[in-house]
This record gives sequence, C-alpha cells and structure tokens, in this order.
Amino acid sequence: MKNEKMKTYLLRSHLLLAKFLLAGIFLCFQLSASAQQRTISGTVTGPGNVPSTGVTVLVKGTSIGTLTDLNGKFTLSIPVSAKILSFTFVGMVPQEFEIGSRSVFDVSLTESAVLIDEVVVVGYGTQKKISVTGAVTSVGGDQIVKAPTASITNNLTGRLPGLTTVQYSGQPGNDEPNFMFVRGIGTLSSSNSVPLMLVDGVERTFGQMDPNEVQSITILKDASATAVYGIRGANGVIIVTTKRGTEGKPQISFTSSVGVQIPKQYMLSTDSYTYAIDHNKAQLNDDPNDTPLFSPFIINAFKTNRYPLVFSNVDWYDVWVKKAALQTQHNLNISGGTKLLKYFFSVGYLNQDGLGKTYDSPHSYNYGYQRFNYRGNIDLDLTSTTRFSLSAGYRSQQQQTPGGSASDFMTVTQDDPFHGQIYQGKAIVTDQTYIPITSGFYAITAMGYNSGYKRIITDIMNLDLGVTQKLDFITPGLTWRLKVSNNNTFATTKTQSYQGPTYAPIFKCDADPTAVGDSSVVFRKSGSDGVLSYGESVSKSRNWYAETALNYERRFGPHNITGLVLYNESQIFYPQVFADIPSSYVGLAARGTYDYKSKYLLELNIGYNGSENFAPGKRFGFFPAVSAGWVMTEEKFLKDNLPFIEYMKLRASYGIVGNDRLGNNRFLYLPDSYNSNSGPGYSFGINIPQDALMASEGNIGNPNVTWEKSRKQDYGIDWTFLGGKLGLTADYFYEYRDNILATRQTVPSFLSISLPAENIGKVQNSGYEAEIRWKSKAGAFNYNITANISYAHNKIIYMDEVLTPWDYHNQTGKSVNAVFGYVFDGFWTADQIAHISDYPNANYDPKPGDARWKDMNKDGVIDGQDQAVIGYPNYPEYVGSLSGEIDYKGFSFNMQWTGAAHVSRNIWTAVDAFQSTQNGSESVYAHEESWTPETAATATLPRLSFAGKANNITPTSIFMIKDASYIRLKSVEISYSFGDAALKRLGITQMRVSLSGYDVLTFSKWKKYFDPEIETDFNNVIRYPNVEVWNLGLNVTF
Amino acid sequence: MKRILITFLIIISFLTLGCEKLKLGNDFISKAPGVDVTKDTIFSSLEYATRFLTSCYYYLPYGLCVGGPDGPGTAHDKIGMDVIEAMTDLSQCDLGWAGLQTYTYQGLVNPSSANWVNGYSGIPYGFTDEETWKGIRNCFIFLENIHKVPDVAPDYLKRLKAEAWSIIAIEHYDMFRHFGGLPWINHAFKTGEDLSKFPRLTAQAYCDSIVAVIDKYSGDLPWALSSSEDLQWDGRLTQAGMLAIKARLLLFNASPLFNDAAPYLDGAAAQQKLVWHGGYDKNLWKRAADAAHLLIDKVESTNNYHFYHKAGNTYRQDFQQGYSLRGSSEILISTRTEFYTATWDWAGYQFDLMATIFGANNPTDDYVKMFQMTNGKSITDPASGYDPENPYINRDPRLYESVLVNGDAYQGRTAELYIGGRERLTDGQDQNKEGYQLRKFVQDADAATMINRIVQFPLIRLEEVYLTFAEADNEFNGGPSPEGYRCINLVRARVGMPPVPPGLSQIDFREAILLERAVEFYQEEVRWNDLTRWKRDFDLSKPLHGMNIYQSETDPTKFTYVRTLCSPRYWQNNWSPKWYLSCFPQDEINKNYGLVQNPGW
Repeated sequence: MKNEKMKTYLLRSHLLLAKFLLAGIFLCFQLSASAQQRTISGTVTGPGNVPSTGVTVLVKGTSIGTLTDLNGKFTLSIPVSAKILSFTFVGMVPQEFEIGSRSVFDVSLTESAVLIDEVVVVGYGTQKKISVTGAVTSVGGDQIVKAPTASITNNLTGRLPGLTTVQYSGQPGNDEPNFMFVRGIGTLSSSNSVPLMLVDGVERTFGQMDPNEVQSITILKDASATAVYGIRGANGVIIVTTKRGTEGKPQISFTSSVGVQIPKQYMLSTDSYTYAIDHNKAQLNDDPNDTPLFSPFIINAFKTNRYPLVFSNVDWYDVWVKKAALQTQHNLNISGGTKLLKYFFSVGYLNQDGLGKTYDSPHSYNYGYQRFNYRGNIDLDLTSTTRFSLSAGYRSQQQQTPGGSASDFMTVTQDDPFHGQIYQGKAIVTDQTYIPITSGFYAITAMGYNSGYKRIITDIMNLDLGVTQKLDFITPGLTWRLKVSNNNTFATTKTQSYQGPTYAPIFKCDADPTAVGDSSVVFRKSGSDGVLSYGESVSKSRNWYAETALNYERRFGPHNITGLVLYNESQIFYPQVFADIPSSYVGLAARGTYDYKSKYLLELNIGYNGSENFAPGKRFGFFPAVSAGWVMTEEKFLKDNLPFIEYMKLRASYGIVGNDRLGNNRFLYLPDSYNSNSGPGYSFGINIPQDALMASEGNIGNPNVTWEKSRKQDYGIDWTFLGGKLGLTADYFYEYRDNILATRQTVPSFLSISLPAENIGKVQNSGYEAEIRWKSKAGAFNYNITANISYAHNKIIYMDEVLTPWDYHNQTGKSVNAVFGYVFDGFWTADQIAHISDYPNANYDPKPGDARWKDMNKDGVIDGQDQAVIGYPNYPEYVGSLSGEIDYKGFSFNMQWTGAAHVSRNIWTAVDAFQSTQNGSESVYAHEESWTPETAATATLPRLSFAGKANNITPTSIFMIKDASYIRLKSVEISYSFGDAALKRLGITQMRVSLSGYDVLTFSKWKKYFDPEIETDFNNVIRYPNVEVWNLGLNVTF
Repeated sequence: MKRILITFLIIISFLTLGCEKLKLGNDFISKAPGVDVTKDTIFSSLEYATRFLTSCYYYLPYGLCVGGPDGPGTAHDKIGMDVIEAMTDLSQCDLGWAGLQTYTYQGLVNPSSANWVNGYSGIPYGFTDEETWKGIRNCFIFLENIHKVPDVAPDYLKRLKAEAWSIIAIEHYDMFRHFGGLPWINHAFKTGEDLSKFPRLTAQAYCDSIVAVIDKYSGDLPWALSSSEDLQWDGRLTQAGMLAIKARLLLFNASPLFNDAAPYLDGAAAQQKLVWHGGYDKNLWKRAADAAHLLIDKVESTNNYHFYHKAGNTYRQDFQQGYSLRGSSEILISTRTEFYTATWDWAGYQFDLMATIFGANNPTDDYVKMFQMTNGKSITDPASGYDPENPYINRDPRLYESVLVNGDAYQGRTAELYIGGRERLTDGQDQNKEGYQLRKFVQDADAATMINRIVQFPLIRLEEVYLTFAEADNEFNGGPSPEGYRCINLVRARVGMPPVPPGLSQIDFREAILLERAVEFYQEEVRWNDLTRWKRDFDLSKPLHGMNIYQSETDPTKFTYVRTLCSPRYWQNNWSPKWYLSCFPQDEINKNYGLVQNPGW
C-alpha cells in the first residue's frame, strides 16, 4: 500500500516537473505555428538604468511571450494581428504598450508599491505582502548598502518606522547602537525591552554582518506578527534574512569603497590661559579675599607661551584625535544557480582605522577594526520535492583599543591643558613646582602612548542545515521542514601593556644650583623604559537551535488557506549566569490564515512556549493573536466609484505576547536559599589571622513568578493611489503590559530581606507610525520621496513605588526612565538675596549667579522631594525620516534625513567645570555659558565656583540634562551607472561609481558643544566620538 | 527514492545529534541548580548554626570605617567613608570628595537624601545603611531554628540563644542613640505578612524593651570568656559586656536629650514621646547609676576585668595596648570585621588611609587643647606651666596616643607636622591639614601597624562604666559623691594623671567627666553622643581650629604655631537642634507603616 502511494507520488512529481519544464520551454522558444509573423525586439531596464533580466514580455490575451536575457534584451516573433504588448516582473509596475507598427520597445520599469506576488518575511516564514494583516515593516538590502556605515545597525533609524536607535560611540568595532527598541519601551526598564533579534530565523546579533549579505531586515511589531514567538515576543522582533541564489547564470558582483571617518562635535576643553583665569575667577567668586592659585607670572607665561615646555598649553583632544581616519570595505559575491543547485557566496572585508594619533610610538595602539565576513548559502533540490539548504556564515574580526580602556576619552576630556605634552617623543608631565595644581588624570598615558594596547580577536561561525520536503502525496500544499543551527564563537583578548617613562621639564637653574638664571629646560625622568608585557584571556560561546515545521498552503476556488505548525528548541551552552547549566527554550508555534478572494483576510497566530526562568507549571505560556484585514479595493463599489484608489487595505490585530526577561537573571523561581560559607567572615579570637566562617540567608524565592503579559492592539491601513504613484501606510498601536517582573519597593526596610522578582508592574505604551511615499517620473527623471514618522509613548501604571503625596515626584504615571531633577527657577540676583527670606530655605548661602531651585511642594524647603521630571528619557519618542531619490539616465542621487525628538541626553562632564576633583579640565561649554554679571541674561550655567558646586552642578538639573532632539542628513549618495557597449565587451554588465556620506549634517540645539547622541554620565563614561563618513565606491557586476 | 530516504535519515540523525541528548518539551528546559543549602541544612549541624550566629556578629556596630567588602553603603560604611568623630569638635574631615565635605558639612542632608547620597549616607546614622536591621533579622532566624540542631548541650543552647538576643539588644541600643524609639521587631518576617502597621515605640518603652532583653538573657552568658576559650573566641559576648551596654543605654536614656522638662525640639515625634519622655525624671539617673555600679561591684569582686596594665609599660603603652590589643582586660565588648590579609588593601585599611593620607579624619587643635598638663591643670590655667612655644610637652599621655603631634616619636623618627615636613608637604593638601595626624588605631601608620594587622573596635571599655557611674551619680545626687570621685580618679590614675580637684560643683564635676570621656575615648563613637545627649549646641556650633606649624629657617628645632580656622560646617551658623538625632529616609516615611519623622527634619 505504502509502495503504491509512493509510486503515485513519484509519478505525480515527475509529471509536475515535466509540466514545469514544458512551460519553460514553451515560453522561451515560442512554439507558435502561425505564418503571419513579424519580429520585435527591445531592451528592458529597471531602476538606475540597470538591465532587467527575466522580465516576462507577453502579447496580451495570448500565450505568445518570452523572457529578457541577461542584458535585458528580448526578441519576439509575433503575429501581425497582435495588439498589446505587456511587460511584467516581480516587484515592478506592469506596463503595456500598443504594438501598432512599432518594432523596437525600449522599456524602463519602475518598482511597484504593492504587488500581488511580493512576499515579506514574517515569523517562521514568509507571507504574500497582500495578505499580511499584522504590523510588519522591512527594508531591502539594496537600501542598507547605501550609507557607508561599518555596522548596518546604524543605518536603520528612519528606514524602519517603529524602530529607534541611539548611537553613543563611533569606536571602530564597537559602534553599534547602545539601544534599539521596537515601538519604544513597554516594560519597566530599558534592559528588559530589548527586542528578539534573529538572523535567518535563529537568534543572533547582526550588527557586524556584511551589508552585502543581507537580503532584507524586517521588524515585527504587533502581537499578530510576534505571537508565534510567544514568551519572548512582547518587545518586538527584528529578523535579518540573508541572500540566496536564484536560477540563472553566475552573477558576480564586486564592490569596493574607500572612505574617511571624521569625528563629530566633541566636548572640548579650554586652553591653559583661559583655564587659569577661570580657575582664579571661581576661587574669587567664592571668597574675594582668597589668594588666586594662578599667579600673574603663570598666567602671563600661559598667555605669551614663553616657556612652552614648563608652562604648557595643549588641547588634549587635538593631541590624541586625528582629523580623519580611513575606512575601506570590499565585497565580492557570486550568485546563481541551476534547477538543481542555487548558490550565493560572499566574501567581505572591512578595515576601519581609529582616530588616535600615534606619533612615533614603537607600538601601534590606535583604535582599529578589521573584519572578514564569509558566507555560503546553498540550496540543493535533491528531487522536485526535496530541498536541502546549507547556510554557512563565518566572521573573523579583530578590534584594537589602547592599553587603558574605552574610558581613555575620559582622561582626554578631563585632563587639564598644562599637565604635559609630547615633546621629541617624550611623554612630558608638568612639574608641580611650577604649576600649583594638576588634575588626577593622565592624558599622556591615554590612547596608549605610554601604556600599550589590547586586541580582541573573535571568530564566529554560524551553520544552518535544513531540509524541506513537499508532502503533496499526503495532501497537496503540505510541506515539512527541519532546520538545525549552531553558532560558535571564540574570542581571545590579548593585552600588551607597557608603562613608559615620563619626563618633568625643569628650568636648568633649578636643577643645577650653579646655573644661576639659566632658563633653558632640562628633563627629569621618572619611571623606566618598560617592556611590553603580554596577557591573554579567552571566551567562547556555543548556541544550538532546531526547528521542525509542517506548512500548508492551498487554494480552493476563492478560498485561500495557509497553515503552519512549528516546534523549536534552543540552547545556550555557556550562559552568563550559572554558566554550568545550559540555558534553554522550547516552543510550539502555529499560524492559520484564511482569505476569501484576497478580499477578506483572517489570521490566527499562536505561540505556546516555555522559559526556564519559571517553575514547572508556571513556565509554559499560551499566546494567541488574531488579526483581520479587508482589501476594500476588491469591492466593486470602491472600484467603480473611486478608481484612483489603486489599493486599500484595513488591518486590525489583537493578541497577547510575553516577556520572560529580568536582566540576565535565570531561574527566577528558585526557593529560599542559604549559604553555608558566605564570606566575608568574622575575625574572632585573639591572635588568629583568619576568619570564622559565616553562613547566611540568601535570596527569598518566589515560586509563583511567571512571564510578563502584554496585550497589544494594532490598527493599520495600507493605501496606494494613482497607479502606485502615491502610497500610504499608517498604524496606531496600543499596548498594555502587566505582570511585569519587578521587585517590591514599598515594604519596610527593617525587614532586611532581599526580595524576589514578582509579577507586579504595569505599563502602557501607545503610538503610531505613518509613512507616505510618492514615486513618479518626469521625462527621463525617475524620482521618489518617502516620509515617515514614528511615535511611541509609555506610561508607568504601577511599579510598587513608594508614593509621595506629590504627583510630580512619583515615577508612577511618568515614562520609563524619565529623568527627575531639581527644577531651575532662575539664577539668584543680588536683589533676591537681599530678600532671601521670601524664598524657600535651601540650606546654603547663595550668591548671585547660583542656581535657585523651585520649591515644588511649597513646604518652604528645597530638598529631594522637589525633584520633578525635567527631561525626556534617553531614547527618543519621535523618530522621523524624509528620503528621496532621483534617477536620470545613468545618474542617481538619493539622500535620507532623519530626526528624533522628545529625547534627553546627560552631558554631566561638560557641565562640571574643573570636574569633581576641582582641578580637572574646564569645558569650553562651561567657559562660555557660565553665569557672569555681564552674561546674566543669557547664561545657561551657574557661576564658576567651587563652594557652590554642591548646590549648582551636583544635583541633577536641566544644566546637564539637555534636549537632544536632532535632524541629521543621515545618508546621501550620488552615483553613475555605466552601461555602454564597451563594458559589455569586457563582460561587465554594469559598473557603478558612487560618492556617499553618512551623518554629514546635524542640526540640534546644542550642536556647538556636542553631538546629540553622545552621552556622558555620573560614572564619567565618556566614549569615542561619533563619526561622519564620506565614501567613494565602485560596484561592478559581471 | 530509497537513496533519498536514506540520505534523509542520515541527515536527520546528524542534525539531531547536534544536541547531545535530544529531549523534547518540558524535559528540554534546563533544570534549575539544586538549592542544596537550605535553612534545614544550616540548622542541622552545630557547625553551620555557629556560622550563622557568626553572621549575626558580623553586623554588630564597628566604629572604624572599612568600606566593607561590598563597598560603600553596606555594613560598616560610615558617613560616606568618614567616621562620626568628624561630626564632633574632635575631628575635621578635609577630604573634598568625602561624604561629610560633599554633603553633610554643606548642609545638603535631608530626609530625601538621607539614605543614599550618591552612594553614601550623609547623616551620622543611616537607617538602613548600617544594616543593623539585617543583624536583627539574622538573630531571629537563628533563634527560631536553633532548636532543630541535634545534640546541643542545654546550657550551651541557652548561651547561644542569649548571644543572639544580646546582639539584638546591641543593634537596638545603637539605633536608639540616633533615632529615639523605633518599631519593635519580634520575629523574622516572611513574605506575605501584613506589613502595614509598625509604629515607633516611645523612647522609654523602646529603652525598656532593650533593657528587658538584656535582663532576661545576659544571665545565660558567661561572665567572661574562659582563658581556654579566649584564644579562639575572644569577641563573643559576655554578661559583663551586656551589663555595660545596659549602663550606657540607661545613661543615654536619662540624659537631658530625652529626659528634660521640654523636648529638644517640638514636633510630632516629641509629642508622641518617641524622642522625649514628656518631662524630667530624676530617677532615670538612678537607674543608670545602679546599672553601672552593679557591674563595677561585680568587676571588682572577680578577677576577669581590670584596667589594662603590663609590667614595665609606660602609661602611654598601657593606654594604647588597652584599647588595641585583643584580649585586653579592659575591653568588655570587642567587635571585629573580617581579617584582611591583603597588603595596602583599599577596603581593609580604609580607615587608616582615609584618616591619614586622605585627610578625612584630621584631629582639631580644639581637641588637642583639651588635654591637660601632666599636673592635672588645664593649659588655660596660668599655673599649668603650659608653654605656647613648646605646646606638646608634659601633657596628659593620652594626647600622644590619640593624636600624632609635631616632634613626637613616629616611625622610628620624629613626626614632621610642620608645613613642608614629611607628614605635611604643603598647607593646601588634605592630609593632616589641621596640623595633626590621627594616632589612635592608626598608630605608626606604617607597614607594621597597617598591613595584616589584627584589629578590633572596642565597643565598650571598662573605663566608661566607671565614668558612667560617676556621671549618673552626680546628676542623681546633685553633686559628686566620694564614690563618684573614686571612679573618675581611677580612670585618671591609670595614665598617671592626678585626681580631679576635690569639692567640685555638680556642673564642674559633670564637665570634668565629659572632658575625661573626650580624652579617653577618641574615635570610639563616644563624643558624638555625649554632645547630643547633653544638647551641647555650643560645642557643635563653635568654630573649629587647626594649627599651621612653621619650622624656623635658622634653627630647625624651633617652630612657630599659627592657629587656623577649619572649613565651616553648615550648622555652625545655622544651628538647629534637629541635628541631635538622625532623620529617617523620606521613602521610609512614605511607606506609611507608622514611622514618624524626627523633629526638625
């Protein structure tokens, strides 16, 4: 019986194959027997004047047709009676021409906004775009390569409505956004809001992938789209899909680019002269009778630069940071295939030089990054029903930093300008005999000049194996698939440290009593010439993933049905916490879709999965989502009455998704624990040099802990008008998340229990995304413009906060991570101080130019309870983008502007003149903006003072929390494509040269002093500057 | 077809073998690590249970700031790495980034910041920062479970329980002196209990509750550790120690801060008698005097405790070894921290480093001036023989062991505290900015005294019990009694100081005792509470001084002395009695379980 079935199946599949082949042959070799024939020909090109291969050219109403060849050319023999010729291609607007007597058809196709066959990536599969009812946005690889960024993650803001990123640093190899959120934050902390990131369906990071490997990046936003990820779907999902081969001759593409990275605005410090004047001023501001630290002699020495070694004046930023650094990127990829085998191979290389100046140091310690990306994706059709797929990605990278750490920029920013310099290869440290103070920072050893370097060498191997088997013999439309993946990482950190000598410049008369009056400089050496020491540490990771699924897809007349059932497991072998116990997930996902004539769409998504974080019985969650769509343009009444509406779909979804994360914590359900040897120990006894051991109570357990539960609604509309020229997509979403994992805060402290996580928090998050597109042509000009805006605003509903009677002071009701601080009420004036009793008691004696804070609760005292929200969170609520593209013959110009608003940034370091040590650097910002009697009306910082710091600068306030809204020219590119015959004779299909820029223009309120995405904070974390990049690129396709 | 099927099977088996043991569903999810140590494990053996009791000891008050192994904000971290002595007139903190200079001296301390000012508590006593509550919780866990341990001799079990109860009493008494009456906790809380009502007890009721615990359980403790036990267990609580704590507690309770006709500052907490007894009750002094004398009687009739003396020692050596040597016969309770084996360990020797190199604990000139001449006369007395040109000779020997003065023996040489000297390179630096260096506990500040040193904090010494009696007796009787004279003079005689003059008035005798306590107990957390319980706002708000010492350019043995002003403290010019007690963190008040803020905060 079984054999019989198998035979039938074999026969069927062979028949199918035969049919397919016949159809192909039929199309390619025009088997018409008609006598009255004539021949027409032409060339079809696509956007950017690129020849379009495989375009179907068909005489309408007949089966007479052909496909264009690799050069976009076609020749077709047609009956003289033929009337209309149509050109169709996936992703392009179909075009029709009256044939008449015309015999040459040079046609240029434009990309279509909505297409019947266009597919988008969704959870565990793809879907026809037309039938999607969830909120899904994607961007193609061709868009991603347009901006010359080293990490593709920096190129997504504005391109994917609903996604926000903030980039803190431009450090080579370490420039990925500090955070990336899909539709903002829906839980109580940013660290628990990280979206799930997948590459080819497997959890992986993608920041360091070669952009040329990427087919598309998709974000899944609503519950309908993410329910299949169930317990991990609440924060949204980002899916990167790599390129795969398609049937055709080998296509070879070579891309090479060379660019410069230019640092963006950084927090600069004043020179020695300004510093000394301001330092004295701050002292005298506090006490007019004080003796100024910097004597007139020193100030004069700074001013005249008479003794540049002893009284030095350096801009450490300028000493250490280059004006520009190189960046090169090359990629070679080959794709193609036969019926049997399809392939895509890619080799990429990136080299990013650092911005550090290295002088004549024997050790190369500059920042730097090299990356090799390899990929081979192969699909082998063993039979007409069996496909075997292999995807292998390999990455080898080396990141270099100076010996210290990434905080070297802290030293550079905070060292004072007379602390030393580099002179004739010597690291000069000013002698304290001559200059009364010196900061505790040593920029001279920063950036590795005197300290060596560190290299992190990482190899990452991703391997996916999969089989797909059509099971039409069971029932037509059924497919089974299995996929297994391994990710292995091995990283070695090599540290070569070194402590070089420093030299103090001394006037000769001071060094040698006999050289009276000799003001030449001699050096006093301290430390010895060190040798590079070597240290090494390694780390590794191994992650395993497997899924198996049954897929069903079939049409019954007007009824179109698809279904999916999938089971998956994943395991991380070396998790960060409890490294000895692998971390694992299992899940079951199901999806059913139904549509009637592609008009009424219905979809059900279900995730059922388990997380190790919760106890058996509490760990498996059921996450359903339902969505529906109505393609109104399929209705006769709309078609007839509003013909200019080409396409219109209304969508709505509702579902429940989960989140199981609480930082890196695992097994949140562990019972009460005790420790039998808990340290630190207690030193009993008289003369016992060791401790009595201690046993102690550990964490209190909560066996009932379970996942966060997010209920999401989404309402969307997709619209195209005027033959696809105008497109509009808009979504409104509302999310209500409860059961949020958090620790109680309202229990009395005297309990002294370390409380467990409980499902107590509630957060609401809502907003919208809207995108409008216009695409048209005017003569030979093809152009398109796209504008989009995303908004997400969240509000804490409950967090078991200790509530105060003052609403402004409670986090509940405010945004997650909202910044609280004292509310600025103006600078004290002499007049106000004279009537100080009219003002709330602030526990200090103000002087003119000190900050006066608002007594928010009007209790007559300025204290911590007067802190209110003074800024937006550090992630933007609004993100928008405006992009445009123009093609004219071979020329193409495109640019993208992005903007962010409702976002704050902390610039503590720039505000704190002379730093917390009171002898560190003074920022130009503090110098220019600090209050003086003359600038009282315009000053944005309090007076320079040491005594007043604790009141003025230390409290969190608008002085350091800045509006970080911005508009940037995020990318711009001009290119020309050659397509002439001479190239073709060389076998080159296309050659394109381009000049492109990344982040080249910025408009922001505080642009003069710092880049709006840079952040410094109380921990003095100061990072490598962000960079703009200009790039010259060449792309050749064979 | 067969080939394809076989290929399939091979592929699938390879793929699934990628996971060593293929499990499905719930079986695949990792098992949580075994919680192999539970409460039952701890309380199944005396060894583990003793370890648990040790973790109760760990939270006992320890007056030296060590930062704690867990960094600032944990047990034994004091006011932002400063010590309470620098809130008094005896020490000045000159370290710009320390908690006192940054917040407290600036007047920037308030209930909203009380618990946590940038990592440090800015008030003398952090309600949660000191982790006394943690100690109390540990004790209750111990008490509720110790009966499960098999085979413990009944007497020893009694003793163990008494130790835990005693720790509870000590933690409460420590908080009493800084907050007044507090909620009384009687068991180890579990999650899910109703936590909505925990009012503060009145000061008197709180004090009585602590006394009741001491009365009930101190009898189960050994009077003193036996000499065989001492070597290994010195530091464990004894009956004598607890009676000393009782006397100290009752003295504080009887003092005018709480025991007066009017509250020190009006407010809800005073009205509810949380920080005031509602009037003056002379008999409270009697309670304190009796408690102290009961202990003195017992000490003098047994042979375990006496003022430390070693044959051949100088007075200085006796004084120094008496407070610093473990097992010293005058220490009634010695508390410890962990033993630090590291070399110049930041955390372990933080007290020493903060006090010396960082200048967070610089002795003031006002303190140095308190030390009498060896003839027992104050330096302000023209007959004292005090020589302003040579101020540091012939003084109470305790001066030299409390404060390192210029010219004293130090590290095998003489101390150079003049400007430009090795102990004070410039007049601007924080280290020894007031012209003196801390000597108590720090001693020679060299490797011998700072590395791998076995240290202790003398929580209470026998000398204090004598002075407690003398003081309480003086207040109860309206003047000194012969026994009061005997007690104070014994303390003075130990360091060779002559008796206090006879026939002193009640007030003069009180002043003599407070002065005696200041010079005897430097850095032992005594002075702050002496000033607060006696409401000595004049001492707290007076300007403080340092000393600039200049070496003569012609004769290196000659110095000139210029008195300088210490940097001001906010409350010196804006005095409020609220400073006598610490404030509760505002968050704690807002939890609404009944905590009433102390007056003025």
